[in-house]
Amino acid sequence: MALLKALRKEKGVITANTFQCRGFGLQLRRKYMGKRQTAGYSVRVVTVVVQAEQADDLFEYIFYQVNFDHPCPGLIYQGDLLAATPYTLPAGVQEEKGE
Amino acid sequence: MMTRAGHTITLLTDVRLITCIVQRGLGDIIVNAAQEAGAQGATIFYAKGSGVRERLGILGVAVEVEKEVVNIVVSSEQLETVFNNIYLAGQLDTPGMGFMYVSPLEKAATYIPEELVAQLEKLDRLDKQHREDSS
Repeated sequence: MALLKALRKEKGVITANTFQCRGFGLQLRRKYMGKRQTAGYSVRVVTVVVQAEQADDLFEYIFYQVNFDHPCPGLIYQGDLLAATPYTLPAGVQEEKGE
Repeated sequence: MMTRAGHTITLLTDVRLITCIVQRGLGDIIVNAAQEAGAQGATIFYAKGSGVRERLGILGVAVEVEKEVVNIVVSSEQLETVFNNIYLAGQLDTPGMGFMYVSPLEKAATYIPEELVAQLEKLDRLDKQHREDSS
């Protein structure tokens, strides 16, 4: 996924996850020509866990990366975690094919 | 507001995240209840639950192990109305139907049309003025 790739390559973030889910909202309905899709629309959620001092910078980075400054369905939010363990990759992990 | 190279991010700072976990198939009822109460959007994803299921019903089959998790971001002002509406619509007072919780959020942002930002700023100014006048 483009955002995860950009986060890793440009910001060095390896603690991001994504999953597919159903989304509901007015802007989504507008994007799909106003048709009401009762089952919702297929959307992606990305969660990013980072150090508190990096958070504001990444919030802004993601906002512009996903074009939230233009008409576009979606929302970004930021909250505090009470605790987290550090995560690092072992040395020599190869990039996935196509990256 | 955050500004970068002529662009501005309008930050929503008085927001909360409602997370509601219900049996599979009931997520849409929760979303409808939230939207009726004024919530703008929601996301639903599937999850597998575990807990007291084994102790409920015959052979533990009474409560679906497949769950739907509903996430809804609302303003603090809307929180109580949306929370209550979801609680009633989801029958969360019935054992095994599900539960929900609210998390504080530091900030949120999305695309907001300029005319709407102008309206919100005007309302904010009027609100501040009203508070100053009354104090």
